[in-house]
Amino acid sequence: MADITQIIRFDDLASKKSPIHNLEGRIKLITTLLIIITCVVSKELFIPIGLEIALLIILHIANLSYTDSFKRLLMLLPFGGAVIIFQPFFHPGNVLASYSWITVTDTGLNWGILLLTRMIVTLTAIILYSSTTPLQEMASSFRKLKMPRDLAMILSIMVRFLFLFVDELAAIRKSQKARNFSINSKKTPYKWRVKQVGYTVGMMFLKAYEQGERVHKSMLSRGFNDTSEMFDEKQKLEKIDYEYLLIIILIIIILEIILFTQSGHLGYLGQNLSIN
Amino acid sequence: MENIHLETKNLTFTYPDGTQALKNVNIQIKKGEKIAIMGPNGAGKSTLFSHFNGLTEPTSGHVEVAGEKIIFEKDKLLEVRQKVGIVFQDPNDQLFAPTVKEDVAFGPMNLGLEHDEVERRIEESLKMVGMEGFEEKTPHHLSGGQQKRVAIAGIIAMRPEIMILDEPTAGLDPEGVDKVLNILNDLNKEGISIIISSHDIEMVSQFAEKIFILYNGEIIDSGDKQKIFSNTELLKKAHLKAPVTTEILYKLKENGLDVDCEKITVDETVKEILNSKKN
Repeated sequence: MADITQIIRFDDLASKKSPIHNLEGRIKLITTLLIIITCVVSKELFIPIGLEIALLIILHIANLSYTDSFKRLLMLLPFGGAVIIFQPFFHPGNVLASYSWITVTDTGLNWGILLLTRMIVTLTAIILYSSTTPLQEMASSFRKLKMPRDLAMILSIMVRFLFLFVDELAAIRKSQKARNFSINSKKTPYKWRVKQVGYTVGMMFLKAYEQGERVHKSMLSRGFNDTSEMFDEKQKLEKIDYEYLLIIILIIIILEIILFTQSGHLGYLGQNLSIN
Repeated sequence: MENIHLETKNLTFTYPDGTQALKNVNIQIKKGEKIAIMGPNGAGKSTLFSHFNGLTEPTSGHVEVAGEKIIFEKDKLLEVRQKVGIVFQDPNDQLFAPTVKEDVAFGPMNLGLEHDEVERRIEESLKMVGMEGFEEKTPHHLSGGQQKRVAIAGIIAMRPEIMILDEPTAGLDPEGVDKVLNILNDLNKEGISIIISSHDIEMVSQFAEKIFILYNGEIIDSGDKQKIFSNTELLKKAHLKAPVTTEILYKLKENGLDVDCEKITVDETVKEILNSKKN
């Protein structure tokens, strides 16, 4: 079951070593954004599919398991998938099939397919990014890319305390388990069990609030004020970082050129499926 | 009067709910002293500490740092907080940056120092606490003792003149306690005044030169460790226990051996017992 304590496992995964893991955080963030933007603005299937193939190759280089990545993709898909699934029924166009008052149109179906493809590529890019970049590196990349100071500070502190929060929660759950508490237990009334979970959540809020107060005090005591700047390590980009960025840009340009010159030969993949 | 480093004058603090946490506290700490403030849970130690660098504003009375009264204005407070560093009891309250390096950098950054100077101070203070090589580690992944040392480094990096540590050895293993004490002694040798709070009487007897007993928001006694630890009545009142050595000496005295009960260290105690037997 997916639960919040899994976040630590994800971060361990992201802290492994591979040519992709070792890239600088900013580069990984920029390339991820590049891929997402290119994919979202393309109206033909060719570019997203090309990018997906490239991403799968990168996943392999990063030593990530295809099965695990696919599972995570399936977990994330329903969020946007719910919107996509209705597309074939809503847009005017040539009717392909109909059942009572429900009709499927070609325009709608094409649009749905395009959206789904875009979504899969976008999610793959994000999965790749999040499985190769620890949370703290993500926070510092955003900061280095000139995210506003206050937001960056909040993000950075949030990342740090997420782990503390998870630890606290795990500790409470362990102590509950040690006294034989189980949410599925048949020995205690259902209402009582739900109440205990409620207490746990309430306690977490209280703890978070109090911790926040104490942290703020400790920050003030080290001179924190409204003009404080955050410390950013000057990290040099290495040759491999530039090469990776260049390769991604090249892949995008090559795909665009092929689409531009060969669109006639690509068939359905080269067709404009967008409704806008 | 020039060497008085930190002083409180009739310091009184009442919480909004009416609880009087501090009553007329008057203490004087000289430059370069090693001080321990002892007292039972809830005696007001942490509240007192938060007055030392202006985190809490007293209800009446005031605190003076190097002869200057703490004024509750932004720039003045910044100055005070650079001079008086507080290491909190729970490192998790203090270590909030994603990496050790960034955490140690937090104080110096707030002082508005240049990047290179910040780097220098990080290196220097991590070396001082024996945590070099941990720069890129997440505080979360460190052991309790290591977290404590990083928290101390975060304060050292601000180059304070007075360091306050709330229960610096609570929850640490004996080796961890020794490491922290060594760091504090090193800092003290460089002229930094150190104030700690603790219940650990053995540790305090090893470390502190002067002890204040805080009970129910009041300083009920103060003096050198010989004076404090040999006063069993006082210790009892403050819910503290005398060091084992003192207890042994007391028992020996009760049983007719002529010993001086003001000896604290193991060596002194052994010597005292042997001497009295010879006599």
